[in-house]
Amino acid sequence: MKYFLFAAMAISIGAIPAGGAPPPEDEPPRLIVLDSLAHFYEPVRFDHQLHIDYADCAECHHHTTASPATDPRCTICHTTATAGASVACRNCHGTKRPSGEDAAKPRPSHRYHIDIVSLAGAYHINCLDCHQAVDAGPIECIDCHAFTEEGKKFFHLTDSLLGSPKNQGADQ
Amino acid sequence: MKRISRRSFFKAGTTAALAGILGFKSAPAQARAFSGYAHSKAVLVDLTRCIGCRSCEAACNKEQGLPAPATPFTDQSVFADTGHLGHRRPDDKAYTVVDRTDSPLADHPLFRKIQCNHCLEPSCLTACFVNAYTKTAQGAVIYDPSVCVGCRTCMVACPFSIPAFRYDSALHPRIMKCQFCYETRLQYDRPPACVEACPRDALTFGERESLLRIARHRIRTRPDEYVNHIYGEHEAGGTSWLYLSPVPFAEAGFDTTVPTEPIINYVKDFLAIVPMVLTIWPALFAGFHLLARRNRVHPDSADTEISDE
Ligand code: SF4
Ligand code: SF4
Repeated sequence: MKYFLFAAMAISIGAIPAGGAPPPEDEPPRLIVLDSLAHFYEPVRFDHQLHIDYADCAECHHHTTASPATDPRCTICHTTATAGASVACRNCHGTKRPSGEDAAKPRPSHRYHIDIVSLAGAYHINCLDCHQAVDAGPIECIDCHAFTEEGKKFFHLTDSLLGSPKNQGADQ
Repeated sequence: MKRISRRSFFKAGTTAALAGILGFKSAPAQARAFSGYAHSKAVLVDLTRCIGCRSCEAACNKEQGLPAPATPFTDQSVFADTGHLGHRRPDDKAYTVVDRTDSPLADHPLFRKIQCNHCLEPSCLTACFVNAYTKTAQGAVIYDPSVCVGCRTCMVACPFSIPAFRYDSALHPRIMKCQFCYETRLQYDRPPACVEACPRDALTFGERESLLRIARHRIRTRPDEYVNHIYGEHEAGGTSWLYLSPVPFAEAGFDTTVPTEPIINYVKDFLAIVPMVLTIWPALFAGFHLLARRNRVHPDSADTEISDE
């Protein structure tokens, strides 16, 4: 059971490029299926290419893609940008929730980085706040998330409510 | 969980009464400077992150086996249909609710998760004369229905009006309130169910001291996004649930008239008498009664002089 869980996690964690042949090593993926947190919701298909067209890499990838950080809070220290070993969100934002214990760690980098959000937090804070700021892109939960059976049970969703016009986006 | 039987309650009451007679201060009066157990756990709620998705409510409902809600937890109309109170509050069917406030100071609605704040010096606990409440070393204020007599003093005592009463049985009175998931999670140092369900990390679990550090860090690094105040750091003598807000707390629906002194400091003198009334008075009056009878039976005996002293 334990082994199975571990295997399932290893497979599902993070981004799996999908949609046709994978682009060459140094090309960013066009479509990313986000399913590391799928349990109550079906995996989310994230159109990476669309976001590349609209936003600077550093908007989301901070300083790991070798483009300089844009947030003035980051640029205090991160004056130069070297490409990180990995640009995947999950490398810094774990599936584990942040906790007060992060603030107690003695590592020098934790002097400032005492408050790193989880993977779910990173997605929902980054995505939603930006969508709101630029007034484009999905905002409502169901615009991205179709419920699994488990999810429907969790939220006490009845089929009648899911069928209402407002919620149909959930099944697309 | 520490269970307190009715017998041990009376034992505790008698001890308190004896201490009272001998001139010791009783337990509530000693609590003045208590600033929480070392390493006790807490939760930081960040209003700038909460979007009112109600995942935390759904998680609480499942974890605590509470009754099914009237409408699904995805229903956003609950924020508008708040009835005569004008805002949502926890009740006997929901230990936690998210309430919406529309402040002119914010360009979007503000959402605030409400539940028991697990005070460092809980007035519910102090007010309860059968000791149904316990503040655990991990920080939870838990309630034991097996000793509760249903007097509802705790409901009146709580500065945040949290304890709710379940009316379905007169014989088995039961207060319903957030238990910090103590039985299933907190006692094993695991975060409560609501925290794990929050998609925006609006809820952060950890030691209270660390969370205060994180809260100050957020205020310091984003001074334009937060007011410079941590609600619960001092309110009601300090609470285990702490809040950050982008607008002054009164604007976000918080009661800012809650005193920073623990509530018990105002009522401790009265509360210290309660166990005494219950335990000494019967004995005292029985004694008076016996002495009076003795005097009547033996009006000329030496005992009369003793009773006059
Ligand atoms: S918020 Fe109310 S019920 Fe909760 S610990 Fe404080 S006094 Fe008790
Ligand atoms: S789960 Fe988090 S974001 Fe959603 S309502 Fe609760 S506290 Fe707010």
